[in-house]
Amino acid sequence: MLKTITALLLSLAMLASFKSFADTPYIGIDYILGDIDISSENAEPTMTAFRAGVSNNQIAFEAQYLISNNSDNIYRMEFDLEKSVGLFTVLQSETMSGFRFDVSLGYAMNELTVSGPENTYNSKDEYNGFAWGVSIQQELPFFDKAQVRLGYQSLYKDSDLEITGISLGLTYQF
Amino acid sequence: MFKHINFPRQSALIALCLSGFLLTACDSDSTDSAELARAVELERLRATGTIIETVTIHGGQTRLTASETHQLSATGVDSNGDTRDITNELTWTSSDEAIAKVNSKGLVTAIANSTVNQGIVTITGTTINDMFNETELSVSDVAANAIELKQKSPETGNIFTCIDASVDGNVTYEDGYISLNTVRGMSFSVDDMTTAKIDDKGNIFTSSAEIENTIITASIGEISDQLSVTADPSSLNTLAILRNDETISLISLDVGDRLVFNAQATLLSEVSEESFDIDNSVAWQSGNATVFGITADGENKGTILGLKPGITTLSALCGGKKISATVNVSGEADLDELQINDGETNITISKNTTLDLTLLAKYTSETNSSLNVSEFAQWSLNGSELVSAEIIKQGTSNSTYQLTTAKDATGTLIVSAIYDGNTESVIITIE
Repeated sequence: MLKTITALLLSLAMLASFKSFADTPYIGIDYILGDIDISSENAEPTMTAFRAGVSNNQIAFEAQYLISNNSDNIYRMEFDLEKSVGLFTVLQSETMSGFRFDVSLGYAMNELTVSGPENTYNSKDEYNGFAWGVSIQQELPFFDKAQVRLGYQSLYKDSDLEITGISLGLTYQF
Repeated sequence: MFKHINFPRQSALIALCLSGFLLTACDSDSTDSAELARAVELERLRATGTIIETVTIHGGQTRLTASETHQLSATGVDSNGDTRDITNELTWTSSDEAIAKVNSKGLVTAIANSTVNQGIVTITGTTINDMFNETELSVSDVAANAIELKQKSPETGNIFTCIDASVDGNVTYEDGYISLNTVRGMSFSVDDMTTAKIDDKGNIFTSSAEIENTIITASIGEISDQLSVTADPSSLNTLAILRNDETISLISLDVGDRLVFNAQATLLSEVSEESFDIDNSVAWQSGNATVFGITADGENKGTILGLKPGITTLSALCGGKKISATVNVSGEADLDELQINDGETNITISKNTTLDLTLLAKYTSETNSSLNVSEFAQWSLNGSELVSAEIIKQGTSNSTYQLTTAKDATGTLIVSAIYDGNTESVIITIE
């Protein structure tokens, strides 16, 4: 409950920030190769992420919605990161020759479904917590409002489970 | 559509930092992930066929007293039918942690003596797939009233001379509790008429060339029991001298070099195909004690030290068998003088203390100027009973001849050391 309230408060704070200080809005779409690391085993489901945010003075506030493309298995257990909703504060470097480096810090709510034979594990669980990411972006030639983006994200981590992903996508700045 | 508004950067950074701290503290409960991790681990074990199907705990039914520790172990048979040590794979629990606790490695610590239900606690070991077994331990300081000593290895029949054997016993206590297969609290002795030796764990070491009967006595306070064991050398086949686990027949070293050797024995092929370490039973012999010295006892048994250039043999003897290796010691060792400690001729010590004497052989050679030969000198107290003496730290470069003064004794004695035909003495005054 506390987590939900905290997330909501942060969301409101970010939305308020968008409203008060909005400058350059952007949207993006990424293909994500996920990595669910648990008990020294890995599942690699794929996802699609939709991003929207506003940036101002090299700081952006960004919302990310991520849905599953494919699940992956560990032995007989199927891992599907069905969806993930995240809110991030993004620290952006100066853009030099169309190139930029971003660091994002935020909170992600991840819905992981694991299914398998009866004697294994069958449940849809939420793993919510601190999330972070790094990315590089390069403006496209002759179309400087669009950038190609390559990133790495950590969506969740505790002592048993880690959910990360490598993303490749496009960002369009209005 | 979107208006440009100047953004207050400092405020934004502060907000950012606060958000970071808040977010870091917001991780969800990891109970689900722990269960999921366990499920994945179980799947891995199932997939590799190594999931444990039966558990056996070893070392139970033993009595401890408060503050003692006892190591339990466990073996399991997996779905492939293979047996493996699963001591560290189990989740260990105690039925009463006020009496005894058990850690994740199966080490039990007795917390408090109890007379309730003979102080029995149940220790359970459970696998990740919930297979479990349990054993009991007792924590009580009730006295023992009977020992039943028995052979442990081998369980029956004669023991093989030179091959380590062992005994343990069942101990009955005054409250009726019986501690099984234990040596806890026992002190052991063997009769002096045989070559047999026994350590405080009940391990027996024998070396006689003939069949030998030995009476072993185990005691707990006033309670004792005896067991007769027979050591038979007739099955002993060969001996070998090993250096770094390799059989050797030629050893080369320089003056001052220290090398460690082990001994191994085989039995007749119809008895066993195994090789056995016999370091505890073997007797080492130097063909010429002036060429190299050998540590004959203690934890560094089998260590040789090159003393003088020359060629001789190192022999290992046990159960009437003997194996030798040629030893070639190189270098220079022209003795200049002997020196005890710093070379002082008089040493004064207080009563009821100890004094360590080190004998250095000082050479004329510049490359090898001195060598601690305390272990290989003949020491003499010249008949004095003011002190008792023993060589300590044998097999190391720190070996010394340690004097311990007799209780409240005072007076003067002369201690002499003879090495390589030379004698050095020191006057000890005990005040």
